[in-house]
Amino acid sequence: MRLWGTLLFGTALAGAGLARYVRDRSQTTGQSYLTVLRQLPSEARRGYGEVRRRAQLAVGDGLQAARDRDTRVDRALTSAAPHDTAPAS
Amino acid sequence: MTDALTTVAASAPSMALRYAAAFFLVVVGIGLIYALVRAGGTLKSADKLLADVDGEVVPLLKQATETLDGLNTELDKVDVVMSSVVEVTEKVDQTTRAVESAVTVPARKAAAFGAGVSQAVSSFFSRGGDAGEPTDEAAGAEHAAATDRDAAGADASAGPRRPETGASAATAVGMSGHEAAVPHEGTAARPATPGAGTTADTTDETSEVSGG
Repeated sequence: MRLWGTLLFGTALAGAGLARYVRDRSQTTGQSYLTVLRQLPSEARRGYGEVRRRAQLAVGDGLQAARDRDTRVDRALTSAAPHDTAPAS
Repeated sequence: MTDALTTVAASAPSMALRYAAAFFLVVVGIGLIYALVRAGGTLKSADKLLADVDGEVVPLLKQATETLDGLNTELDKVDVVMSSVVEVTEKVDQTTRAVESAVTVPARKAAAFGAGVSQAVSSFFSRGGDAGEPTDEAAGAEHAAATDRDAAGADASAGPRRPETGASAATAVGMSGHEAAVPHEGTAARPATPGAGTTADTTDETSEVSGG
């Protein structure tokens, strides 16, 4: 009973989200609901590819930023470290 | 008699010399006695002085020896203390280095991680405006493409299918005008999913035209 309730609730939630997306998309593009539904798989693939491309670029930028920050911190610590200036006896 | 007088006359200078020599010897003897008496007094004073110095210096030397012994003992203790201080200093230095590395390395990693995550999130969402929601111009192009598609569907139902241009075909599947002008922009940036956009779009377009 609990499983069926969860499934029903999830299905209703997904349907509501899908309906909202179709309505907003139809209002934005002026296309019919059926057209928007037919374009949904390609839109999903396109969105997935776009998100994946952006994620790859963002990961690259993040790694580069992390390396830069690590280099700057290392340089700052090295310059702040005390140096041995006493002559060797 | 003459011989005696001759002898006396001949020995008169000799006798004078002898008396002079005797007098000289007596004077020299008196001088030597005086000098020896004075030297004896001086030696007596020197002997007394040496006795006094000996009586004063020996205790001083004994005290100096004792002081040096005590000083050596204290120096030994200071040496031990200095050795302990050196060991403690080395341990403090090692501890400081360990604490420094234990604090610095995670701090560096955390700073780098934070900067990387911040930059990644910023980059991800800043690129969202470039290819996110379609603009009004793209919406208008899509609307025109939908109109063309409806007309094409009517023509297809009435007769042979009218060929579509590249721009209208692209906009019919939701691509903007810019994306239609650069058809391989998305696929070039997505080598992991080749043809995920264009091939699927074409497939959907075909199924859409055949279905509608």
